[in-house]
Amino acid sequence: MNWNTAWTVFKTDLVTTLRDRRTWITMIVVPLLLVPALLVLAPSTLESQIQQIEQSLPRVAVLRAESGPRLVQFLEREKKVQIVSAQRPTEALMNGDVDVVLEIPSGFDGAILTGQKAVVTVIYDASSQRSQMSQARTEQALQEFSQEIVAERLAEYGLEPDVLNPLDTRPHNIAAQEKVGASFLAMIMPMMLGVWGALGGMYAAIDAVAGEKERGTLEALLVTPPSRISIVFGKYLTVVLTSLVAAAVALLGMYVAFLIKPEAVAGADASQHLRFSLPLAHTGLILLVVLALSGFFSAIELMLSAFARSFKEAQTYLSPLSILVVLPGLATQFANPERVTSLVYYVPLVNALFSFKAILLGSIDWGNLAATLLSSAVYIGLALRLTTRIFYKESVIFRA
Amino acid sequence: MVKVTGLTKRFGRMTAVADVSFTAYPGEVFGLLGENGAGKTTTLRMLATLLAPDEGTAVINGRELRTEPEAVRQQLGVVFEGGVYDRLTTRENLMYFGRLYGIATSDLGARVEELLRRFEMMEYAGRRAGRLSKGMRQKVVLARALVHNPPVLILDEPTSGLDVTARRLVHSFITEAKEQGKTVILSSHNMGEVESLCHRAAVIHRGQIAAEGTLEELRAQGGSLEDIFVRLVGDES
Repeated sequence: MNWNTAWTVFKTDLVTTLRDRRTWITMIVVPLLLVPALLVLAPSTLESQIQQIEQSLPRVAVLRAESGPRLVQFLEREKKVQIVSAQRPTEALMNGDVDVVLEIPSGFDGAILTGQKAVVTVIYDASSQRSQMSQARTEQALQEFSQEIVAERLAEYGLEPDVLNPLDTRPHNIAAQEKVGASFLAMIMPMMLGVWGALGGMYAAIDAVAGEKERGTLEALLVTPPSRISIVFGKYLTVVLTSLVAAAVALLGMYVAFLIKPEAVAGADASQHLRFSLPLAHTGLILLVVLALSGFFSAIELMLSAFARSFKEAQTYLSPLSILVVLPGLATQFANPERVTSLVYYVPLVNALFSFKAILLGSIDWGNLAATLLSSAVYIGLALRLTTRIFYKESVIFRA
Repeated sequence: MVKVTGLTKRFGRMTAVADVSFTAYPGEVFGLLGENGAGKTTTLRMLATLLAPDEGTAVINGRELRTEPEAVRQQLGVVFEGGVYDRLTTRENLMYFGRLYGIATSDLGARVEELLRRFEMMEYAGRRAGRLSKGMRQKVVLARALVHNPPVLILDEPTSGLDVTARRLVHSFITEAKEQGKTVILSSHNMGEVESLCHRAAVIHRGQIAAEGTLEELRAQGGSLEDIFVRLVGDES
């Protein structure tokens, strides 16, 4: 292993990689913009739809209004819903002209007056989000009417309504505000860091071997005196660095998203108090775990790239890796890093995902972190050995 | 000097090169004539240490192929069919290979400028190789092979796909190398090229040497080089 050669190859590969527009797109633009765009825009459009529905009153058509004049009066007075008239209420509901149809049974007012129970049917269309939300709001209004009647009935016995509420609950959250925000971050961030840390260098890996094969420069490179190990290591460093940058840029993208729209990143409750403040030491630890992760994946990517005859073929070999990364990312999203068996910290990728989580939550178990880093070092060593061996295999390197 | 003895290479059950032996001396261009797939490239790849021979060996400028591959590579300037780094400039291409060949940083700049001048590439020294014409690119490839001033050159069909002007340039490059006392091994399927450039040649057919000698010796077998070649390999067609 000649470090000078590795350094020369690394510098040159970095230059050629950076001079390719595709690198900038996969390393900088996508992680920087795609992540914030997904976080900010996707919920925003959904939210604005919901807000629109919430701002207008549910349009309620009443069937047999004459049976319950008191209820209708209550609804009109309280203005929680908007009473509209419709010729054929059910049809209007299906057409979306009204949101809810209220069916009052005959003898409703009488039942209320005599202290009996009455049943009101709330007809809605479950296939329409607007109707569904209106149904909930209409039932809430009906509940208020019900409470008014209860209060009246209790007053007849000289009782206060509170007699029915012997117990009151008061939630008191003891988690530090940073931790509340962090728990939300800890749900989405590990996957982001996992994806970019593991796959951010994919393009560089394809370009570095399969690309060189396709352009016919690999042969010229391999007839120079340096050992192939040194050449492979130089290329490996380029891939690792590219992954690191992509992960760091994704982190930056999250920060930008947070600046634009805190609640999209940290959740509505936490955003009021949360500052996006990962302690510097924690950022360092995150990058260390990213390094462990990308160290492993970069070696695998280089190996697959060496197997391929062309750039395109390498893309075919490497794209399934994304699924391999995303699936565990999704599976561990809701898992608590403190409650899982320590064995997961010896599984490549999964150990990184849980470590990201633990660091973001501020509940670092040094034993688990050490297991992550040390086991990764072993996996990196093995993967690199295998990759270098591939470079000595004529049948692979000169596959025509 | 390059002394090849009994080089053999098998790919699975297929023997690509069988017991190839020849010697090429300093100051001469040794031709390796053969049709496509005859085993020329495989032989040269073994000499360049890209492929490991199954049997036989070669001694290149005193260095043994199997035991000192890195030292062998240091002796060689190699031109295979293949490209240059498109995203590097002409100058950067040469600098990169100079560094890989271990040329001291203090000497490298001057060496590269010298090559740029000699190959008349100053005009596009700062241009990315991806924007060069085919002939210009081939000049970069040739200059690259000379960056460490190697005593032995291995040229695998260096003129294939080139136009007349570029081919002439390659020919003058080969003649110049010969005059400088380098050992040049040139593979080609072009009779005219071999006749005009080589002193000695070997005809390789189905992985084996079918004839070897000076051009006069070969011609003494009767007719032109092409006649001999067709007679040796002609049963194919």
